[in-house]
Amino acid sequence: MEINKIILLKQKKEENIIKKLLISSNWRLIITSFILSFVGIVMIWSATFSTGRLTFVQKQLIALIIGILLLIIFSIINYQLFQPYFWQLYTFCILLLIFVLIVGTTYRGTRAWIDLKFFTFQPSEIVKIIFILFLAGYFDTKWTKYPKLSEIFIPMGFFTLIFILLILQPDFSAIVVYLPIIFSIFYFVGVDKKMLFYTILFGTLTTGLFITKVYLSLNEYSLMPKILQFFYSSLTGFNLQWLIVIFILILISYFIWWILRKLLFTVTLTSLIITLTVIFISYSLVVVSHKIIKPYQQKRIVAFLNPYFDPSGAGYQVIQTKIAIGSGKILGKGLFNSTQGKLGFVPEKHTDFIFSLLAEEFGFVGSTIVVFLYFILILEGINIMKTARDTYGSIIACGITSMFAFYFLMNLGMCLGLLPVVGLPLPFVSYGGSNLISSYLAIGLLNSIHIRKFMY
Amino acid sequence: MDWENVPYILKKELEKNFSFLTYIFLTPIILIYILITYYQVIRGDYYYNIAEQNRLRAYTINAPRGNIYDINGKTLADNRPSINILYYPIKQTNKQEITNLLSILPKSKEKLFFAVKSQKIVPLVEDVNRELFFKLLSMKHRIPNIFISTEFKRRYVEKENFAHVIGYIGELNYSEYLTLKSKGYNYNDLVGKAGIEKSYEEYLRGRHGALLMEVDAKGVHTKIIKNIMPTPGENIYLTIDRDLQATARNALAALGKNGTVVGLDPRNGAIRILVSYKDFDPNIFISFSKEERKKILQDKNLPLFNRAIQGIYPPGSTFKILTSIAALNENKVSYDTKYFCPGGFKFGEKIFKCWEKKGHGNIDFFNAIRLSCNVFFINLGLRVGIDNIEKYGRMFNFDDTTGVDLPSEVRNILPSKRWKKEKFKIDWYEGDTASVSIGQGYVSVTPIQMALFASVVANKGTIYQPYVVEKIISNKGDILYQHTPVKKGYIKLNDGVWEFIHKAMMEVVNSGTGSAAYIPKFKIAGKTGTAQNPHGIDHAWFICFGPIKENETPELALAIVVEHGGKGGSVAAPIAREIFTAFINKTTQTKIEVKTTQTAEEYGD
Repeated sequence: MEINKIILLKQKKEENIIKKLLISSNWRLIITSFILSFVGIVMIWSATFSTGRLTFVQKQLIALIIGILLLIIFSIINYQLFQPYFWQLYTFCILLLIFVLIVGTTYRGTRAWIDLKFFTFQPSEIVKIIFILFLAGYFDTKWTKYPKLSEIFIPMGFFTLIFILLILQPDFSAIVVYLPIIFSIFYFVGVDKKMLFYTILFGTLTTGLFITKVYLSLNEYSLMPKILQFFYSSLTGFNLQWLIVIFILILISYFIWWILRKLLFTVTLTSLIITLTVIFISYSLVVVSHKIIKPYQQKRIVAFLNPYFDPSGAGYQVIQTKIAIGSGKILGKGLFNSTQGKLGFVPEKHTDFIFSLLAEEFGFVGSTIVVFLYFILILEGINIMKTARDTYGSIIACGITSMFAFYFLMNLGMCLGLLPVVGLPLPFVSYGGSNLISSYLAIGLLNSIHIRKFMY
Repeated sequence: MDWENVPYILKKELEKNFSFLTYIFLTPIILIYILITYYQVIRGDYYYNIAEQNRLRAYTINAPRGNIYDINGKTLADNRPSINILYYPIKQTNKQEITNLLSILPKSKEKLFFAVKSQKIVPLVEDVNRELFFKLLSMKHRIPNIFISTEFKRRYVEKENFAHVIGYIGELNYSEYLTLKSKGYNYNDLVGKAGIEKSYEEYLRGRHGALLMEVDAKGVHTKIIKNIMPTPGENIYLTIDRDLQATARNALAALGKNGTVVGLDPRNGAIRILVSYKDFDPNIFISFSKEERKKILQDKNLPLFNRAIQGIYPPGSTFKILTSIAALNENKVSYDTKYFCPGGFKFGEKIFKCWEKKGHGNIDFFNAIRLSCNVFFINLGLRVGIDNIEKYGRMFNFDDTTGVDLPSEVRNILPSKRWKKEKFKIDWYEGDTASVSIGQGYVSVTPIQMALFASVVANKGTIYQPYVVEKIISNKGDILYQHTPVKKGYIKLNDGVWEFIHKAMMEVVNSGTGSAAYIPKFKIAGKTGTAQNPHGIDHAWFICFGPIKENETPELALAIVVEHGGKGGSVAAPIAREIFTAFINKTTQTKIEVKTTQTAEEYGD
């Protein structure tokens, strides 16, 4: 009797499963991503119109279909299935990345692609999502106590391995998206805020000093005021100036620490020492940076800092994309009627700068709609994060949402001339099969988390 | 683990993180949106304009300049087509095309290769000659990337003859460009610099057309957006007679001395002749030959100087006519008045010599004019007084410019007591009056003023505004402007004065100092002049008018000056004869050979 009841229940469950899936899916999320994909296809058509062929549109459509399939699959699959297997998932990531380094094809200077006759596939896109699953699984097991110091180094270590594998390709834009994912997950999970502070301090200090160094290198050394000359020398070698600057920074930090203590803020000596170590490492890293950063990347930073330094070259994109966006005015110039895009003033208009093309052809109306759609997407992601059934789901949702938010902000920042050209796509809209597929995979996971609120 | 099972304190912590992350994610989106609004809504027009500048290129299509004709419609200045050959690599370039081109234009090799490499339009030949042009045309189907552009270059058909009247065009200098930019001039436009080209620039220039093209990021032309045809300039018909002008010019050139001839029609003020020598070929300013231009600029004869309206000379004995009119009309003297001429007039320390060394003896008014006796007129002038001379001078426009429609005319100098006091801060002397009455001293005139004076005497008192443009006709044939004679003034003199003057001046030509101008069966009245000047040999003057017929106004009045020419009667008067001969030939369609019956060598003035 008992067994029959269970079998009957199971059958009922299977019949109702499809119904329940359809009812309890997060349609806002899914429809938003559909609309964005549709917009993307139209814009890709416009962007590639001059080639007279529809190959790009076709490829994107195929990727869309695959993506939708993955969306369905991962909605059906209970995300919680992955929870205990996070080590295996990590191993899979590593193996996949090693695989790419060995048999992958090189395109645009990075060995990041696997050639599958009909199309090329970029594994790092999938690795990204799987790494989120790994992190979520890993942290969920540590949930019983506050994660402490050691806890941040270990997951950072895991990331470092991936970092190295990606650097070997080399693919910087793939690396860079991990940062917001990691930081938002760390923050959410309750990693020691001080650790986060140190990491962020390190990051900003290194980047800031590096940019300053590159900026100063643009100017004629002998014409600089003495102070800047001194500063610049301290950044270029382990010399006397470098020692002096470090020493001054130590003094300043000590002074600030002393004052904070006087004002009764509890800042331990350890914190001071760690801060100083961070500063030291950061500064030294900048000194040797010219060995790590390639010339064309340095040029890009230069162009970003001063687009008019070389307006016909690297600074060109920064200026032209702004013009494209602004010239759309309110109603845009109409589909296929862009001038900046069509006539070649804005490059990469089917990938990096697709938003510029959209803003030019559909004006403020068009850009408002797209921004609105992404706003909804992120909002839904946050919602799912908040209302997930379990902490595992929340962490996954946190990672995925931060990923989408990051891509959106970076891409639009680039189109608006706020950031250097970093080659990050606009999810669902930019041309790029692998990115589209992994985005739908992510949506599928989000949906799965959402559905499992009600179902079990 | 399920959220239900999370310890409360941890849950609270984690929920704080939710809000923080929410803000971190959503705030930048809002900031980005604000920025988008700024670019598209607030600064949209600005960026739109830049985008348009990026993609549009405007090319000016130059308007052909209006033509200039003489009174009979003979072309004086027009435009000749100048063809440039450009290479524009739109279609695929093949080796055969290059070989073909190089076989005709071997020197353009470098330019050709540059055009192919850079995919830009390059001019291969400018102002190609006819032979080459037709060769290229015949091969056009084998050289598809050849682009022919036609320009117009100004051509001065009459070359030196009309140099000063018509002037020339040249490039804008910076200050001209600043002023004219708003009227639609481009920085490399040509604009009238002198003469009619300058004073009627507004009519002659036409309006540029424009070709608006779209270009892509590489500068390759994609399509034509707008093609606006240029409006050709309007055509100007001068009052000048080409044949008379040429005759006058050649006469001066034959003498080899600098000088000027101005011919007016006393019936309406139309200018029939305006010549200044040394002159120049204005085509030099079109051909951009630096050496030639330098030569003109450095020529000590000042060929660019328009002596007719800018030259200022003492009128010499020609001024005696004015003195005569003043004296007669003020009843200071009568027709029978006589003075004694001993060959010179002593005034204080100075002696004014008369042309007749031995003196004319007792001489009456009529003969004083005929033989140009200085002593008579000095007496006359002192009798009349400078105030009267000034008064009549004003009536006859000697204190002003003629206002002719040519640029840069200079004002005459009519001296007076007040004038001298203002200018030199000293009083007027009687000696000054003596000089002025024979056309020396402070009085200075432009040749055009003397021509005007002659024409006023010719028509007995009406001052017509001298003008040089008869009508302006648009390219389509509409008459935009037709000049009608403008009366500037009318001088009524006492009965008989005009007749007396006319008779006396006729006799000057018949048997007096101006007999070198005599033409049988053709009555001319005139007055010679020999203006002393501190720079060297005297200037030779001759004013005249004719033909003199009963109840008809003479048709032509002349003023001739030959710088450092010597005696007016011997140098300037013969030119008048040549001009009137040409005039007769024209109007009567006959050819007359004129032999001089008398030379006026013995008669100086």
